[in-house]
Amino acid sequence: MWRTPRSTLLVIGGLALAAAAPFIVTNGYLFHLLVMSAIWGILATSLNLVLGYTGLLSLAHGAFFGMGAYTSALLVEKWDWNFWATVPPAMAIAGLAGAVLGVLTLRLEGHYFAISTLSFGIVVSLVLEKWDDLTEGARGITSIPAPDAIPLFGLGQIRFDSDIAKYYLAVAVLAICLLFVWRLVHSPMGRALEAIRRNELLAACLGIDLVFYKLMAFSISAAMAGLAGVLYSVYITYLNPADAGFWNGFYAVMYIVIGGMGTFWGPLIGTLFLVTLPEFLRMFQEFRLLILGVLLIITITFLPDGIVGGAKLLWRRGTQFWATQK
Amino acid sequence: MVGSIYALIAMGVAMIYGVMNVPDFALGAKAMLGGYVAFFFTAILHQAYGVALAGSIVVLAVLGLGVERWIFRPLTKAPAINGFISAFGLLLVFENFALIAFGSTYRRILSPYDRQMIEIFGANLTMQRLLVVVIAIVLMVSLHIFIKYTTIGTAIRAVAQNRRGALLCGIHNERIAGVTMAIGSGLAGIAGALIGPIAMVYPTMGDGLIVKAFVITILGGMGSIFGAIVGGYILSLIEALGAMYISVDYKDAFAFAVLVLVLAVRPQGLFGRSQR
Amino acid sequence: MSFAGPLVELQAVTKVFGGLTAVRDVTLSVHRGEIVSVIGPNGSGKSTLFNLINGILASTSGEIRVFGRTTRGLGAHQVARLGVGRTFQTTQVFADKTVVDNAMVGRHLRVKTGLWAAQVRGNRFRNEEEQHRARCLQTLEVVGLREHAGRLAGQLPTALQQRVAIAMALAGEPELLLLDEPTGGLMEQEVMELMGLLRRIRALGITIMLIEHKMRLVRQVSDRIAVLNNGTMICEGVPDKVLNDQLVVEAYLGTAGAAAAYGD
Repeated sequence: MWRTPRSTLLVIGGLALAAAAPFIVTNGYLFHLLVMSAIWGILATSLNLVLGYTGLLSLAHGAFFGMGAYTSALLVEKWDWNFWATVPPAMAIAGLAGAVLGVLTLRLEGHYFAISTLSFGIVVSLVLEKWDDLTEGARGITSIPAPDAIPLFGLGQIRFDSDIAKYYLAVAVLAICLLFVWRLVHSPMGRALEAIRRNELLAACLGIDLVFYKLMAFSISAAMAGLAGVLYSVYITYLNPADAGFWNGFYAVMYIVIGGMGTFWGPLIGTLFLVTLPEFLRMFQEFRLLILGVLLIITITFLPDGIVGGAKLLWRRGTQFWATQK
Repeated sequence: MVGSIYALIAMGVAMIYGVMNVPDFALGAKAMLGGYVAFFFTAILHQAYGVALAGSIVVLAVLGLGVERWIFRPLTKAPAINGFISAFGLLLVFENFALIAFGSTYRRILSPYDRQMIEIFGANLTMQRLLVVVIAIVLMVSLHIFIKYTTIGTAIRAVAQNRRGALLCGIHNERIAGVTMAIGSGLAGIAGALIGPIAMVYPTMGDGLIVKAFVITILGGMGSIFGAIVGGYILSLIEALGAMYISVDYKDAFAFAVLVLVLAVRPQGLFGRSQR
Repeated sequence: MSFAGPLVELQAVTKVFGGLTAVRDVTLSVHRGEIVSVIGPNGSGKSTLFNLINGILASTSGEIRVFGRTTRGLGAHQVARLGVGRTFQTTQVFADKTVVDNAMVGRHLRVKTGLWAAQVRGNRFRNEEEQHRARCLQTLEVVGLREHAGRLAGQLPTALQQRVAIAMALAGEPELLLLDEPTGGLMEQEVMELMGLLRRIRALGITIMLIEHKMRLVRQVSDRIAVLNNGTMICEGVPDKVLNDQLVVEAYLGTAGAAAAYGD
């Protein structure tokens, strides 16, 4: 059940690289992109649970992301909560929103479901904008403080004021989320979700309760999206209703599709690739979204399993070819 | 009047969904492109507004043919979700193309009708608004006649009901898909050209429109054109009333409230096909 | 714990779709240990009947009981949980997954571990997963697919894919198995093999309902046969009685053909 020696090595290597990154990457903006990649990576991984594994196109994850961000930021700004204490409520609210939305919409056929999630997202950003008294509306929340320092008894404290500290925090959370998703996917529930994505009727006839599993996946995914939002709020230190809008969730969809829908590493790879690449192609900045759109269309049409899927295909072809050569 | 615009786009969505089983999320962006085409005709080619209207239909219809052929046809065997995602990609492409080509400044379409006022039942309207409603109704009626009484229209209905059956009857599903897409896109195009003089033309104008259009098609029943029309007017009525009596701020949220209600009570919409 | 009454009880079951009455007033019982075949011309409502029994469709009127419980209001997954497995006329498998993974999905009904256990990954979890996998391989043994366990289901020939579907249904350890035209597209030799498989399944104590067109198979394997024509059950009983029944012959061959067959 444990991973093969090769993949364990790869994972450790990846972690080491991630740990060393602040010292290797000297370009400030590129480093910023790495932090954002970690945060968006969490969002993408959460959405992949629903989109890639269960086959549901949710456009509400931007809203869950924003709800988590706002909950944490407001609790800290207005009620002086300790940052760490805000994480459970932020995730709970996002997860609850996911559950409620799920109950309302998961019995619906795919297209209806997608539109409903979209509408939900719009309403959430609308409420965040109009409910001035609570959320500061379009002005947004500014100067969000860094996470409170964690005392290490006798040895001082871990402070999170610096960007590097926030980077490590984001990467640590990402790693935990990835582990969680890995274990979930490689379990009976994971098998149920994958069955649902491929053939709902067959899954139902095999005893899989469609609504229950979709709801579970959706709620868990929403809570995780909220967590990503919390990290976003303390890193960027500024929030406005647009952050809870549709686009973040949609970008996540793109990262997932291009990285590899339904694969484990796809979302993260897609995120890393698409968030950092524009920096290297700075001259095409204007065309960025245009190219993204084209890439999305091409990927979904010709390579539905994305980069990871394509890599696996190449690997299989390569080994087959190699076998025939012997 | 707004209802007419919603209805036109919703009709396109309903038609395309009914025949191709793909929710074309890029239709709002096509409306936006229609607006820009009209702008191009009037402001740069200095043609009359009528020519601009015709141009918007034609250009978008041709674009629709291309989109069907190149974007959606390769995806007929793939899971439904892929078409949806592709439509999103298309939306990005269209919007950013418009952004790059025309910039983000709001553009004015000069229509002669915008200046003229007319009095109906004691209310003062610009001729443009009246024109929108009139043309929309003309289009709806023409479409209805087309679908009901022409060969192609019947073929469209056949494909919408049963793809395999239609194929067995010798109908070229692909050609029908192309025609449907062309009609739907043309409708969206003229919708954009019609609303242009009133609301101005800008790259993201399609976003709000398409979301409402989808809500409407759900309200009216996803494959039903008639439902889309009725739904369009109902929604605009609800929004207007809601803005007047409840709250102007949350105007856009009414669409969602309607959606939740419909989905909870009658998921197939007013005129849609039942599932179980 | 075993249910003693009829595993399936249909009482005056009718299903109407808009203008079409697919199933009309069908009354039928299936007892434990039997193999009951449902036959009839194309479009006579056989698959619809199966869909009604396993909860995919709700009947318009009439009563359906499975293991003594009424199926009204139950979804397909709930009926499956009662102990019903099913295959489809067009073979449904997860093409991009291995044969054994397909069976593992079918095993879902017997899985007890929850979300938390999956996260903690203690010994109990690992042991249970291993047990499930072992049982799946056993199931593959029964259907004769053991050597193909690691192959992708979609790459197998049709006959074997149908076996994968049967294995999936069996992996959940059902007491009742509904097989919809399992010999579809099979050649003579493969039909013989399937017959053997049906007998093996029956030997495991599983009751079978079968929709079939191949008369030789039906005659040799069935304890009872029910004949549907245009949604109505026109005859029911042991094979000898049913297959010689005038009405049945007419339904299949048409009246003129029946006359010819009876040499009038």
